[in-house]
Amino acid sequence: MPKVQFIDPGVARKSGEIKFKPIPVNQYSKSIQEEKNNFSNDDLIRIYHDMVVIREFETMLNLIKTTGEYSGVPYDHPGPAHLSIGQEASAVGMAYTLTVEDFIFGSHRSHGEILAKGLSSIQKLDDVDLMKIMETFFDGTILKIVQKDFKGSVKDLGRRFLIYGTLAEIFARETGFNKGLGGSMHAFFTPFGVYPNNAIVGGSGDIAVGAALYKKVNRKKGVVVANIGDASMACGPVWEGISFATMDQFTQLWDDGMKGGLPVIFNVMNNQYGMGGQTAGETMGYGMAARIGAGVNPDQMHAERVDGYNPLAVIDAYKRKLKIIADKKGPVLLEVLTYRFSGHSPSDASSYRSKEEVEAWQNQDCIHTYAKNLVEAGVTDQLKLDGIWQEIKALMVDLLKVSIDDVVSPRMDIRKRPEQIGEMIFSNTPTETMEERPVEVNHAMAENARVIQLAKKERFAYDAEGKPFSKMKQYQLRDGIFEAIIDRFYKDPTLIAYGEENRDWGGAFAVYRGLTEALPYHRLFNSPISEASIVGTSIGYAMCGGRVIPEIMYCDFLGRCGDEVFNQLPKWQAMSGNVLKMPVVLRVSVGSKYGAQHSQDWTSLVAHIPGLKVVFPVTPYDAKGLMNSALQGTDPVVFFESQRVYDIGEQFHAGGVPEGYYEIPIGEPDVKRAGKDVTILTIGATLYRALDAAKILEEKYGLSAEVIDARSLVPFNYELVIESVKKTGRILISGDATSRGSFLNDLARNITELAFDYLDAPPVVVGSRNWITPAYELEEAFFPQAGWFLDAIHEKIVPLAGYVAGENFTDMEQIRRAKLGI
Amino acid sequence: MSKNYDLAIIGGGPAGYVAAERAGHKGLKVVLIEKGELGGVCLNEGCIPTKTLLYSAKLYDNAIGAEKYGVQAREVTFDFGKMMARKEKVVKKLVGGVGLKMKEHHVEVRRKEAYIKGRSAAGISITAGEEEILAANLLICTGSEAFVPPIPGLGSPNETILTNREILQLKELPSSLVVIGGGVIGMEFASFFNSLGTKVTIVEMLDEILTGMDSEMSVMMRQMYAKKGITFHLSAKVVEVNGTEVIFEKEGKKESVTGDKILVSVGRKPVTKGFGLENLGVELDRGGIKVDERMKTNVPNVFAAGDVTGFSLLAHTASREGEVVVNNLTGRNDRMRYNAIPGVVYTNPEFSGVGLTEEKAKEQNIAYKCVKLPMAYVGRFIAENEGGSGVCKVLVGEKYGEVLGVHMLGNPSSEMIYGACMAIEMEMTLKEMEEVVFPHPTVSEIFKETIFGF
Ligand SMILES: Cc1cc2nc3c(=O)[nH]c(=O)nc-3n(C[C@H](O)[C@H](O)[C@H](O)COP(=O)(O)OP(=O)(O)OC[C@H]3O[C@@H](n4cnc5c(N)ncnc54)[C@H](O)[C@@H]3O)c2cc1C
Ligand SMILES: Cc1ncc(C[n+]2csc(CCOP(=O)(O)OP(=O)(O)O)c2C)c(N)n1
Ligand SMILES: [Mg+2]
Repeated sequence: MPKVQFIDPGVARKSGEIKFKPIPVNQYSKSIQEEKNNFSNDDLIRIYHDMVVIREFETMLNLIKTTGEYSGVPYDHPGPAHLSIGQEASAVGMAYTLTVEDFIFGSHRSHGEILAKGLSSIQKLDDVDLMKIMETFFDGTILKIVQKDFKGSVKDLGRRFLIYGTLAEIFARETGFNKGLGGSMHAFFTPFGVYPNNAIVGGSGDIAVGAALYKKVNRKKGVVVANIGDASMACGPVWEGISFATMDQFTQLWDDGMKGGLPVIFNVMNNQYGMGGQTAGETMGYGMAARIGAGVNPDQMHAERVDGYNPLAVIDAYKRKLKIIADKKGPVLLEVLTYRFSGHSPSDASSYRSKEEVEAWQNQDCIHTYAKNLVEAGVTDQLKLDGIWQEIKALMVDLLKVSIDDVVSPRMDIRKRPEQIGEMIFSNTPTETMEERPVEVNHAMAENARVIQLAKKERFAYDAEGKPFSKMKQYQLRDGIFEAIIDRFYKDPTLIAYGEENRDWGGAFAVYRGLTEALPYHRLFNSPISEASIVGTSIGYAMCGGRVIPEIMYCDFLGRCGDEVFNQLPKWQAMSGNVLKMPVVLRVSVGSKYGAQHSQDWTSLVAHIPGLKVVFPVTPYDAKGLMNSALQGTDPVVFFESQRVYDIGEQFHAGGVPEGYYEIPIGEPDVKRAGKDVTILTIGATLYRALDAAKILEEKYGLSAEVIDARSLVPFNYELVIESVKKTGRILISGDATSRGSFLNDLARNITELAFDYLDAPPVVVGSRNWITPAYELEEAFFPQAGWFLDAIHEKIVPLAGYVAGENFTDMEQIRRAKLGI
Repeated sequence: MSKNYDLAIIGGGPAGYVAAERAGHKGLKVVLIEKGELGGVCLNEGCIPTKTLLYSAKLYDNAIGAEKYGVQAREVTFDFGKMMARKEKVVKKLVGGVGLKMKEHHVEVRRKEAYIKGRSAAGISITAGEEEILAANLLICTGSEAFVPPIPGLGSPNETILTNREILQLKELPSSLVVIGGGVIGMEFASFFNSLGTKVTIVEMLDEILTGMDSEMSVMMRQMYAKKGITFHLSAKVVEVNGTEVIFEKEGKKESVTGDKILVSVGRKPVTKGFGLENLGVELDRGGIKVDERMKTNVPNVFAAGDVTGFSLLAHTASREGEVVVNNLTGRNDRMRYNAIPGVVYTNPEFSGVGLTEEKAKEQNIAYKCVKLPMAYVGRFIAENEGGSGVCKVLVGEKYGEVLGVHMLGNPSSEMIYGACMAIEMEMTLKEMEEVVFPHPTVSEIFKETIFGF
């Protein structure tokens, strides 16, 4: 797209071949003796220690799950436990070199990674900082528990803190790292650089890239490691994350200071199995996961397979790979070969692998082999190592007892505070800017061509006589969105926006026209056609503390980022126990003219998912005010826009759209036309057809309709609607979504319950047909039209004298259609 | 030139003409299209002519039995021709009356065959003969016609084989009559001809006559008529008709019976063909037009009432359904209810019922209590029914004592049953009924006596 890049046919059409470099496989071969210059004896023993912590931690969980006790302490844990017994060297090797500023993301099988990275960070933090972290986290709640009767060093206290916080989280205790709302598969602790683990296979594949984007854009130290499984390499979001992370623009188009690859390492923990599917040989074709790097970019992602059975081999690889990242040559793909002895979960009977195979890998057990090598190299003796193991075991028994003590480690008392979880769904913290520092922009806002042009526009659609100004003169809905967004770009230095065709093109539907000139590349750029990564990276970006506006060109493409929108974006605030915030405003445009896959209103799908705020403004005033509110908040907002009305002027707000900043609170519907005989509540651009209907009702049938624009779906304040129904006794609820299962029905149900005594007829839903959206020329048969409101009133509420209905709203037709599923 | 109406009605039977009258009264611009005579089946070949004839028969019965009351009427005879002529007169008078009512309520009547052409944004277009009519709403009341089942030898009506229509036009009294179907229509005609001395045989496929009515009373009724000389063949399936011979299968054996005339009264079928219903896409259900509680069809602005819906098949149901349509059209929310529709068999004695029968209550698992009293419990009945017997049965809900059903065998139950209809419609309980004062001495007191039997 960028004009600066000339695509020369002469070059593009030249014959030649793509050359690949060999990808290294298990090339590390040093003995401990040879490494003695690089590691102190303490370091080498600490590596052993950390591996044993993981082994014992996981063994404890395994015994609890399979025998109901550990070292004579009985406990029942009904929740999940995906253990990594056998994989300890890969986790410790991965974490060893990382600093506190380096972040890791993980999977369902990440207890080992949490502990390894936690132990590594504890080791690197000085005692004062470590204490501060422990003292401030949840007001020192966890610290108080692990400090009781403990007299050891700050670092040992830190280790107790780490193991306890993780264990209590796994057991769903309120004293866990995430108040027990994350659990085994999601536990994390950001002060140690441990970011969310993900129960959706491959879920971290794009989120981690967003974290790396945050580091790069905001000039933060550190790298990001995405710990993902070998089987997750088949997942779309992982591919999309890789595509996003390797975009040429990082090295070719971004400004000089910003130039360079993303600081992210895709760390494939290759235990050679999915659940029961064997990746190499059965479910994948890559042979070795590192091969994938060869196809992605000319650097081949610096891909390499290392022996994850040897912690020193992994550490060696990390030292080299971190250098690549530091040289801005990322991203990196590292395949860490390992093996899990434990089942996928404790209920796994390992029917998919032979006993001989497991035994063969157990014979080379990473911990025992490493211990043997340490003793052979004279670093320590077996007695000492056994002593370490015994100490760790004692520590586990001690912390297990504390973590299952219902008095010390209670679960959330939902009876006492029934809304405790509810209160965590949204953070609701108005925040002007996510970070105090100067914003990076290309010119002063007043110099922006679009801003200058907007100053000349009519901010109300009609002149003093009530005649509409020409479309060209009118300040349009797209201008309202633009004004709110550019304003925030000049306030919040962390704010970035991206999506398909966002830069140069001006964004789909010209909302971003003028932004390209105002903003450097790293604040506004074009993404790959990769909706999963557009949303997924935004989630990672926001988790780290940045504000972001991802854009999905058409609502219909939401399916392409289903997991990101349904499982990730809405959940992390609550799953973190409110540690994380999610200031993401996801712009979604609802189409109308391009048929079945470009015209769907999927607001209902999104409204169904707890944890998302959902708005759908259709006037310039509402669009600007709601965008301001969305951008001022720290919650994920799915911001729906309608392609039917991008060019519409302001017809309602007296005085037009204010030039300055104002907010419209999310969740407040608005009366767009007052009336007394019937209420029409609409979602989205259906508003304008409802207003047409209101006019006909008034003129032809003497019925005065009150038209209310929902503006928001989640949250939603029913009070205004109920007041209206008290007056009118009748209500129609309409939107462009296909009727079955739509949010319109939700509104109808609530209104029925809340205003039953005031209703003369049941609320009537006027939605689209349960069909595919036909061609534009046939849309009148599909989307609610002005006439449909009269049809529905006539048929279901009150007969209109002499009225002949168009669309069929008879009960019998309703039943017939339902029977046929159409 | 087409003309605009608020409401067009096809069919001038009890559904159509009553709806027209009510709609006209409420100020709607109405056109009623009837291809035959106003009044429909009911006035012309159903309720009214049969009741007129049955009254003649009853007078004859009474005259013969007058001695029991100390009245002597010697050489009692009858003139079949005069009976039929009086019936014609009554029908004419009533049909004329309907016409006057239409005028009075500004209903435009077209005595033409209607045909539905289709539906557009402008309205529903119909033709009445040559005339084009455009109406905002359409009410279909095309009624029903006698159903002649596909049995070998049973083609369309002829000299011997008759339906209600032909039998009402007989010139001479048949000496014997075979009635196929022992339902209400069959029993009424059987009763009439039996009174006049015709040898009547009833062939019924089910194991009892008048199914749907209280079964205990149906048995009593059958036994009374058996005494009067009617022959009943129950569980008898007609397999062939051969001239005057009706061949039926009973308990696996073939039997036959012959009659001068054969009346086919096995049921009626809704009239849904031949007038363009398909041009609207109106949905049918078991042969009738499918409607909801407000008599709306599946097509906006199109309604149906009366026999054409295919279930109740009673004139008073038809009229009430027509009224429901008009109420809803004129802004009154009205739903059709079928739980208090009375059914009367105008035999001698009359047999009337409303609401749930015991059979239905059991079938629907409704907990009920039931009390039954002989009619002879009240003075007036004894005074007027020498040697006659009858019975009254009341069903109430077990928990609340609300009246669920009332069934009476005996004269003049047809005139009394409406009291029970009101009780059910108003959801009255035993307690409330006990406080109602009945005139004394009347046969209606049997209702009150039965109530006090709980
Ligand atoms: C022998 C007999 C005895 C009965 N006795 C009783 C009784 O005692 N009590 C009782 O409640 N019920 C009785 N009924 C039933 C009662 O007659 C019907 O329930 C009632 O007539 C139904 O009324 P309707 O308006 O639905 O239809 P109908 O009365 O059948 O009227 C339909 C009308 O529509 C007209 N029509 C049809 N198609 C067209 C067209 N295309 N264009 C114009 N006009 C058209 C027909 O000509 C007809 O006049 C009896 C029926 C029979 C046959
Ligand atoms: C999207 C998704 N699909 C399937 C699963 C079920 N599942 C959990 S773990 C797992 C295997 C993952 O294998 P890999 O990525 O190699 O990680 P490992 O379990 O070996 O650590 C599967 C299929 C899931 N959690 N998420
Ligand atoms: Mg695996």
